[in-house]
Formats: sequence, C-alpha cells, structure tokens
Amino acid sequence: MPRSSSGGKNASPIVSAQVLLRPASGRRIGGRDEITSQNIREYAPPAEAAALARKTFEADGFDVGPTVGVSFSIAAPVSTFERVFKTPIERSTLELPLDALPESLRRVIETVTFERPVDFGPTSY
Amino acid sequence: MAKKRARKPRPTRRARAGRPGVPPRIYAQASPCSIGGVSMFEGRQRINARTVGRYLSDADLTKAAVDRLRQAGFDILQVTALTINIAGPARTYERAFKTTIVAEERQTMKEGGRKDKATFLDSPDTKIKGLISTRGTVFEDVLEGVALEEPRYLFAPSMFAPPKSYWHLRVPADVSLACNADRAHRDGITGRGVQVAMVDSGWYRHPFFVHRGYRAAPVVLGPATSDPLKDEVGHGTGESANIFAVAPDVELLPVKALLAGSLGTVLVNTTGAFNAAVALNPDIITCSWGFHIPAGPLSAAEQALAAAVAAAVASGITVIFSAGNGHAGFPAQHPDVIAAGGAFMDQDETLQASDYSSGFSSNIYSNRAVPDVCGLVGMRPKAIYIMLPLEPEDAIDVSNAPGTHPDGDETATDDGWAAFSGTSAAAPQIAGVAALLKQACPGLGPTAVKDILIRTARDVSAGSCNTVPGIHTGLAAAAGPDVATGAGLVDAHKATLLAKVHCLGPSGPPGGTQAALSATDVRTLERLITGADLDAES
Repeated sequence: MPRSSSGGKNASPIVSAQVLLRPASGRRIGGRDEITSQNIREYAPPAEAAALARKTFEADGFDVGPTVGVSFSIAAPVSTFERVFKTPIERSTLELPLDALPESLRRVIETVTFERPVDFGPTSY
Repeated sequence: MAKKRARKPRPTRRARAGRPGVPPRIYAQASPCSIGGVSMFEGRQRINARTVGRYLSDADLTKAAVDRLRQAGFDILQVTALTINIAGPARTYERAFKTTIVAEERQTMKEGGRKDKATFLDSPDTKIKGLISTRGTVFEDVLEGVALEEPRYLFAPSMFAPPKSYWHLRVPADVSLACNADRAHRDGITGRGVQVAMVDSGWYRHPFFVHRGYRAAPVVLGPATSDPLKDEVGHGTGESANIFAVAPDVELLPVKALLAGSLGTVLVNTTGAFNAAVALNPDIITCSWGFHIPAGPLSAAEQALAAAVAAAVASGITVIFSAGNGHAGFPAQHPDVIAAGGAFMDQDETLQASDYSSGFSSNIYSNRAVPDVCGLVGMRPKAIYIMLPLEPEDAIDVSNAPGTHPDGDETATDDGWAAFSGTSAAAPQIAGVAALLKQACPGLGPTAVKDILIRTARDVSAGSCNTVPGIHTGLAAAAGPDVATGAGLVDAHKATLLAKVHCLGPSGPPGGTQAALSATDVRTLERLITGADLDAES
C-alpha cells in the first residue's frame, strides 16, 4: 500500500518500498521463519548482490536507503515506480511484480514490497 | 472672496508620538489599483479565495507603478499580481507620498504568548493604522495605497507546561522520580556520551528542550519524507521528552518516518526509517509504534523489519519497541526487542497495570511474552497522563484538547503542550534507562541491558492490562513476573547499580582489563541490589 509524501499539485507523489534480497545461504525468507540476532547471518544477502541491486535502482532514479538485515528502501515518484516495474501503482498495491526487472536483478531480489501503515503510534499512543 | 487656504491637517496624537524608533529602512506593500475598482484597504472588504480576483491589478498599471516607485528612490523587492514589495528610508516615503512616518508603541503578543509592546510605523494622515494614502501624489492613478510592514513574532510555545488540576505527570521531574532516575542522576549517571535514535513523526525544537539544554542532532529524514524542522503530528517530539526526563544528557538522534493517511498522521515505510536509524549506529533505538499481529505468518515487509531488528541487535544496538495499546504489538514481540508495557502510578505512589497497555503471549515467536518491562502509562479511556511538549497546533495538540479529563487534556489547541502517554511513552522512558546503563557500563550488550532491566524492575501486582483482540480479553497483574506487566516498572537507580557491578565483575569490563570484583562478590552485590533472597539462591 504505497503512501506518499505531500508533493506539489502536479508532482507525482513520492512513495517508498522495501527491496528484500535473497539470502546468500540459499534459504528462502518464509513468513513463519523466526529471524533473530542468533540466525540473521543465515539470511544475509551476498554483498555483491546488494551492491548490484542498489546500483541498478539508483541508476533508475530511486533514492536508495542503507541495507540492513535483508532489505533496503527505494523511494521515488510513483511515475518512476510505474516506469521501472511496468505496473500501475494503486493504493491496494503491496508486492510489486518483478517481471519487468532485468534478469540479473530478478536473480538477487526476493521481493519488492510496500508496507502497510502502522496500527499504533501517532494515532493511538 | 478670498479663497480659503487649505489647512494642513493637525498632527494627530499618534503623530505626536514622534520619530524616535523609526528604523533606517522601512518595508511596505504598495498595492496597484485593483481591477475590481475597490481598494483592498477599504476596511470592510473581506478578501478571500472567492473574492481575491477583484483585487488583482492590471499588468501594465503594475509596471507603471513599479517604474514610478523606482524613480522615487524605492528598492523594488518583489512584484506580484496583488502588491509590490518596496523598501527605503523614511524620507523617501515622506517625499513620495507627502506624509510623515511616525513610530508608536503598541501592545502585542510576542513569543510564548508573552504580552509586550512593539514598535509599529504609521502615517498619521489615514485612519487605518499603517496605511499611507497616495491621494494628491504622482502615485494616485497607479497605487490605491501603501501598507507599512508590521513587526511579527513567531508563536513559540512556553517552556513551562500549563498547570492542570487532574493527576498527571510532568517532564522531566515526575517521570524521572517515578522511574527512580533522580538517584542515578545524583550519582553522575545521566546518559552522557550515549546516543539514542528515535524513529517517529519527526522532532520539533520546542523551548522545553532548548532552555533545558537537551542535545538533539538534526533530524534525519527517512525514505520519502520531507521538512526536517516540522513534526506535523507531535508524537515524536512529545514522546522524546520521556527520554530526556530519564537520561537528560543523552544525544537524541531523531529519524522522521513518512507520514500519510487522510490526516497525514499515520507512519508508513517504518522499515526504511528504522534502517536509517541503524545506519547512524546509535547505542539505542527506540520506537513508539508497531503493527497489530496476533498470529503469523509475517508478510514480506514484516520479515524485512524483523530482520532489520535482528541485524541491529546483532551489531550491538539495544532496540526498544512499544508493546501496543490493546494491540499484539510487532516488532515488540520480536525476541531481540525490549518490549515496553505500561504501569500506572497514582498520586499515592501505588502501582497497577495500565488498562490501556498491552500484555500478551506471542503466537509468532516461541516462548515470547510481551512486555519485558514497563514504563509509566495512563489509564483508559485515553491515557491522558504525561504533559508533553510538541509543536503548536500539530495533530495531537489539537485533537487531545477538547473536553475535560479523562476525555480531553484541557490544554489549548495551539499552546504546544498536550497530555498523553500510552506505551509510546513507556518505550522512550525505558530507552532513557537503557542509556543510563550504557553510561554506567559501556560494554553492556542488548541482552545484558534487557536482563538488568528485568532483574531490577519494581513488581506490579495489581490491575489488568488491556484486551488484545485475537489473543485475550484482559490479563491481571500478579505478584512476580506476569504477562500483563512483565517484570514491572523500570527502576533506573537499581538498574544502574547493577550495571556498575556487572562492569566491575569478571564478565563486565571490555578489553580484558582486570576485574575488580570476583564472581562471588558480584553475585552477593547483585542480590543486595535486586533484593533477591540470599538464602534461596545459596
């Protein structure tokens, strides 16, 4: 579910997603995996894969955040997401299709996903 | 019949106020004649989005006005379809508009709502204050009037919280005292040299922080965020005061997460913002937010956040998350996290579980109960409990104000203060205690910090925590550790003592230096500090 920072009237709003990288160990990141400080190394992506993915997204016009754990953030106007992923970005969009990405990138990326809003914090202290 | 000579208007009372106080350079807005035929300076005109078109000016007329103003010696600073911003000395105005510029002192409201006098400029020839008439001058056919600029004061909130009669805690004193941090401060443990990153809605440099000399680094923007000087919600600003209350000498590293939603008050892509905090390599990261996840599996985005937390803790960063307010808080239930629950301290110092805060057993992580320890949190319906500073007129300042306690905080909607808490307050309080521990024993890792907090907490044995949909309908606190409140309310003094002992023992000091205490001595001192039964453990 992409959420945007307020932009100008005609500007494409800026949204941000997380790019999850495939672990170097070959294991997949499952929804029931308990990823903790004890086993995080097993999920670490290869450094060169992270570097390649970051460089590619930067070249495509994204602001790329630091890699921590298994992921890094990418931020750009919606139009950039739509151009690179070749899919319309809607409010209900969560995971993005990877088909339009180069094969070299698809090999190292587990998924690219928007994050749903938090349930508590600023609106329920 | 002799023509009656036009009398020069008598100087008014305002004019007699004299010229002292007239600055060397005066700024004004000159208004070219409006196309609607009515001057914007006609007092009864209401200019709004619907009517403003009538007050625009013809471009050629505006250009002619600019030329004449320039010829008269004015600096042209800006030209819009409505006005021309000009500047020049008083004598230029007086010569061009055949008037006198006077200064007068008027009552006004300055920073912090302070009533005081300020110097205003005026032309005594018109009834409207600050207006210069162009009648009878070479500008008559191009300008409908000139408005002298007035002094403006930023509305800065007061560093003092508004007094309220209902029972509530004030920062820093009450929160520090209730967390037993004052005694740690007396021992010189104040969080000095420790960096605490807070991922939230941003941070506003409120006079409360400035005048107390608290240290905060410039706000780091998370992905897709903007405006590092603003906290549109007030949540990050307010809750950060809890950190300083417990650890006044920490350096705060605020990280702003993206705000969205119809009101712009919901945090999104918190993983990106969390990662930005990790990249700062602080000692502690505190997060007063989370997701309600009563059962697995986790989504890809949630696993990315879980992995980020795990990586942060693996690198030695202590990570604290709010347990939730009737939520099965995630990442609070992640086993690497110190989960912050809520205890309510009444005016008579009695403690009970906050019925606003969450306590639950995780269905995602094995053998994981939340919270680990508690901070100070109010009671339902709204946990209006700690008076906190925030940006005036932000979302919380406005939304918390209506009604009387316990439904409203009874503060103004624009005073930069609001009473609130929730486990959002507990996390930064616990982060403050963790910062004290890191100063007392810099080598402590995240696991040792959590262990010390748990071992030294004050037991909470009364009351019940909030219902957590999908898990339970309320759990009672009981003597000893329980799911409702974990180990209880953090005790900063005891925790720092235990940290110091830890640092003097065989496993404490970093760098292989000689331990000052034997393992036996350490155990004995630990028992004395924590109150553990010596006989039972011997």
